Amino acid sequence: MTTTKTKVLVVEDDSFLAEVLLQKFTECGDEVCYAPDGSGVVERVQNEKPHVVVLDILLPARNGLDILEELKQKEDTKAVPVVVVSNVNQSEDIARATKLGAAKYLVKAGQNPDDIVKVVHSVLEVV
Amino acid sequence: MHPELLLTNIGYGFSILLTASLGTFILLKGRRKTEHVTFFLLSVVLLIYEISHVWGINVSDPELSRKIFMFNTANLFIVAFNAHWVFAMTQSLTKQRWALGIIYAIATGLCLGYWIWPESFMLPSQHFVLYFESYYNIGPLYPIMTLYFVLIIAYFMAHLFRVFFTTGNEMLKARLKYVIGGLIWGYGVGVTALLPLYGIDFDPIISTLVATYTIPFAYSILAHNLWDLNVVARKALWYGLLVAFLTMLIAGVNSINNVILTLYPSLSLWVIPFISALVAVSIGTLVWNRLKFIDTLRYELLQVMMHKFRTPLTKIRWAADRVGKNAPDEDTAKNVARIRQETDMISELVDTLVYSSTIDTAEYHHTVAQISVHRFLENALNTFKHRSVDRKFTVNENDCGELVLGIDEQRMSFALQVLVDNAFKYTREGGHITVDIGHDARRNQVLFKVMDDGIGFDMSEQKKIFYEFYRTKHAQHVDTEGMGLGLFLAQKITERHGGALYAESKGDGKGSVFTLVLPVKSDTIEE
Repeated sequence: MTTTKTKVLVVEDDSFLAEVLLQKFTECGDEVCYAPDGSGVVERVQNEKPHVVVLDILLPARNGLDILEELKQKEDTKAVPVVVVSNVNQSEDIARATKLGAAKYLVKAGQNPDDIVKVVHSVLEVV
Repeated sequence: MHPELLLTNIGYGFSILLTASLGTFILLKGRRKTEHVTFFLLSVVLLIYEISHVWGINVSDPELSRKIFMFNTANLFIVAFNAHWVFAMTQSLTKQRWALGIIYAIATGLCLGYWIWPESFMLPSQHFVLYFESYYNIGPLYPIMTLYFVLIIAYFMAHLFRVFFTTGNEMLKARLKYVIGGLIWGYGVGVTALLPLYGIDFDPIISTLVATYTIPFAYSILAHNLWDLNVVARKALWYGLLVAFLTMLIAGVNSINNVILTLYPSLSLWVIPFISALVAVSIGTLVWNRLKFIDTLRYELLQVMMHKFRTPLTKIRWAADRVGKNAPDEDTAKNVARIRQETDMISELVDTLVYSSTIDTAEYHHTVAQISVHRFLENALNTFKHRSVDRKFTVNENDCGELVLGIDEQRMSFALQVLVDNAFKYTREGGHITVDIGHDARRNQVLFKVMDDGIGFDMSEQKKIFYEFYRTKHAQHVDTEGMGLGLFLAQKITERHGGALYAESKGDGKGSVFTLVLPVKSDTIEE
């Protein structure tokens, strides 16, 4: 019997936070890929077909919410769950992300990396 | 009623409200401070002057009007209290005690003299000076008051300038800028009401805004007490100046109207007033938009600041987490746990400060969504699970979990967390904290009761604990770090959701019950 590894795409511009997240996912046996800014994320999701996307909002090149909107509009990417992990905690942004189809919205400052990994895995279980 | 008299009445109405509210506000902020008390007394005499003036000019009976205008003697004490306040704020009371004594003695003497021999001060009023029903008809000794008035102002202004240019205290210097500006504006505007008394043909409509000069005064007093008053005071000043400008503009256009109608009798009566109204509305809209824009900028700046703070805090927290996992010994693990705890506290503080500075701005709005009581409790109270080691923490949903609320979850969570967090803070180890949910079917409301057997409070403080920055003595003793903002914000947020938040206690040391009431949206979540 073969088990497929969960493939996680982490979109995070801060190198330290990205490193911690990637390490955590790897420790849990996940396969990881990484985007340091907002450019080309939609194409990477189309080509690399991750099981889940961990997406920051304030990113160089392109805003995370715009990326989320495009992902949810495209036929081949709309089923991929997106967990928004950001330090923006304005109600309007949370509401917009939820409306656009984010599976979860987490505020980084209030979470441990372990908690984030747990939430991402729980999202995949639901899917 | 003549339109300009109507404008004058409206302007004085505005000034009376402003004087009364600012005076009371400042007194309540420091009942034992000379600066605050003298400011309050200044407001009282200013109020007497404003009321007597606006009343007197609207009365057609010359004798009655004269009696009312006798209260113009309040001017004597306006400058006296103003001088006292200036000396108090520049910390020159001891040096100026003799001068102050003389100022009060002359004011009292003149006031008594004028009331004993009223004809020397005020004669039966004149009819229809400009557009007033009645106007001051001054007696032979009235100019002595004017002289006193001018001399005292000159004296304390000279004192202010001297302090301003010699002090090395930059903070005081900054305050004095507001005071000097306010005085020049206030007395400059107020003195226009005196001009017709001396036969000078000048429309004193601008004097209606005399009370606006107390705004920078109030600011200079409170600048060190309230961190966000700067914006409020400036905004209030802008509103005041806007009203002043519009009043002058309309008065000017009305005067031009008379000239134009004389030159062009065929022109309809409504043309010029209509144009003036259009100009006023346009300026009003422009200024209003500008103020809203400033509000938005401030809100956005705070949001950016909040984000800038959070990113390094997250890094510290996550780095601590990494170190903690591989801590070589117990001591390191403890220190790392402390780092995490403190970064969490800074995060909370940042959130609280941003909430408190935006809750009254136009930009603050809720994003309401439906959520079940169960889900709301689960999300909001999750963070307290790890804290329930030393205290017994219980949540009783009491069959209310399925009820649906229409709330901004993030903000309401904050409000509920404040209550539970306070319960943890102010309950000793081994104590009990219970969140009990109830349903008031008749009013269709959900009641979240947060009960503890902690320090409680005296019921005389029942309302005060919701005041901004207020903390009971007992609370200050137990937790020295609090800011007194949590309950204030929780109540505001709850009220904005159409709910209510109140507190009860059987007294100091006897625990407390905070009840947060929210309306039920429906029995099931609507798709």
